[in-house]
Amino acid sequence: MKNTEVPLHKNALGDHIIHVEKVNKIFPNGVHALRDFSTNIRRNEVLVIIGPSGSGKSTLLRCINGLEQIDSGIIIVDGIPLDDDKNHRLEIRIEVGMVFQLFNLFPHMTVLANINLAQKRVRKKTTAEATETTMDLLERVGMVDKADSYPGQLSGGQQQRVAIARALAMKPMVMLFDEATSALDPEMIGEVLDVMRNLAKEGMTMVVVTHEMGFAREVSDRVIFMEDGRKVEEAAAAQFFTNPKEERTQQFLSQIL
Amino acid sequence: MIIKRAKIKPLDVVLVFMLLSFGLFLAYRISVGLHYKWNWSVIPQYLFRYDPDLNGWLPNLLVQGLFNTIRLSIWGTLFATILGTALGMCRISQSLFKRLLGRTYVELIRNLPPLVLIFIFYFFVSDQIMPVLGVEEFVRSRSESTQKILAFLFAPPSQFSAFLSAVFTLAIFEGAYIAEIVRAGIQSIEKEQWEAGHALGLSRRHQMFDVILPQATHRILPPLAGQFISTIKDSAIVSVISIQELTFQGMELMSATYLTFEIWITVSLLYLMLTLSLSVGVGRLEVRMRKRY
Ligand SMILES: Nc1ncnc2c1ncn2[C@@H]1O[C@H](COP(=O)(O)OP(=O)(O)OP(=O)(O)O)[C@@H](O)[C@H]1O
Ligand SMILES: [Mg+2]
Repeated sequence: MKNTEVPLHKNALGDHIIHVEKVNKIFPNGVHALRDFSTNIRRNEVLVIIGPSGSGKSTLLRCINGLEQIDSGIIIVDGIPLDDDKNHRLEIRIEVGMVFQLFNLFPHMTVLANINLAQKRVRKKTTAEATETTMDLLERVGMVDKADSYPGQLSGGQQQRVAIARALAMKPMVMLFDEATSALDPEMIGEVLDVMRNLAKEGMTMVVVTHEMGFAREVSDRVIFMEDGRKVEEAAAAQFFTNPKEERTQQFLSQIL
Repeated sequence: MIIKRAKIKPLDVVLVFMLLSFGLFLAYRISVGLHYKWNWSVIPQYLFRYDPDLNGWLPNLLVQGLFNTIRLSIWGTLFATILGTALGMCRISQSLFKRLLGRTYVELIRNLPPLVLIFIFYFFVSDQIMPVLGVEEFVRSRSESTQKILAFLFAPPSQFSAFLSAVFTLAIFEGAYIAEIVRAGIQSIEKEQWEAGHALGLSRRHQMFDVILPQATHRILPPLAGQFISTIKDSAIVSVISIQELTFQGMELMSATYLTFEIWITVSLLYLMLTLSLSVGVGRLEVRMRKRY
């Protein structure tokens, strides 16, 4: 891995909370999923990432929170470099919350226990303290009455709202959403988008991979279109949707809109 | 699950008839061909004997052996589960050393004849480990009531150390199979569960103990119960080191009475009684575990 010469103390990057520079990811099977990918994510910003299937959107998110190792390049999250140092990697995954397409709740635990777990284990809270935070969060996502249910008893939309609450319980600085509504029945997409919309309004820094163009238009500050592991176009939301520069972006938007 | 009611078909009748005739033929060959004198009437006294002092019935050799088999199997499986869980987790550890350790253990045990292993372990454990632990003196220095409890749970003082050695030997042996059961159970949990724990900042240890293992347990328990049945069967092998379990008692009786068939049929029935009823239990357990969540 390249040596970072960027100053590493917090706020050294100004407003940038995530710094991604020339990142390459090549899977063992030879797939080059990210090619010289660079971007900066500002505090309180909502960045939407779109692109065709297999373009590397999930891989980007997974690299940012350390689920995949990058082959070259630099990722810095809130001043902490994502390098081989175990403590750095741990700090980063605590700071970065992630919401998965298939929710990935723990099926053997109640909703309450799902959300309490990391608070107790990582933040070292007592059960009472954790439960207080959890109930607040469940209130926010409209799931208070399901605190004692098991994930298997909930609809997809409900599960995803719990998963969002679970990630928020760690008080992350950034939330990553990987197609959070793609696995949901159409009538449940709205309830999850509502939760995400509120988060955006409250000023949460969010990186959102989505196919919901209406939603993207509404909440995003900035949009990246990627293909084949490359950034094809990056622009402020208003400009991106009304006046995209690249021909490939225009093509993609006309297909999907 | 669809359960069809069994219907008796003509083929079944033919099969039952053939089996019956084969059984009769065997009995005939044994009596006539071998000039064997069946003598079932002496068998019951080896199961239970009447004690005039107590004015009651006490278990005799065969039933005592059965109890010892049960004790051996329970303790053996218990220790094997602890050992197997630890080594099963080693098998999928991120550390190369632990993986090698787990692998070596499992491969070594599964690729050697059990009889050879028993001799190696038994003499190592009983000669080297037991005296160091001072088990024998420990038991003998207990009060009488404690000794009684220990005798009920394990073995009387005179056989205590031999019994423990046999338990550990069985545990080391069965542990290899349980390690594989545990490994398979852990690996059957979707990797997304690890990832969800990772994204929340849980350490690998907490991912394992809070997220993965509790779920894997539901998939591990049925095969583990199956392994318990195997342990009952495998425990017969410690008869070669003079542990007085069912098979050993059978051999002793046979050399005293020469009632080969009666004794081994009785011993078989006793084993079957244990293992078959447990099998039914395991079947139920599987169904229940599948219904969870
Ligand atoms: N673990 C892996 N091993 C090998 N190749 C992988 C792995 N994960 C992803 N890939 C490949 O990397 C490329 C990018 O995958 P990625 O999942 O990031 O795409 P995506 O943009 O999220 O697509 P989608 O919209 O379908 O989710 C694809 O070609 C994919 O097949
Ligand atoms: Mg994806």
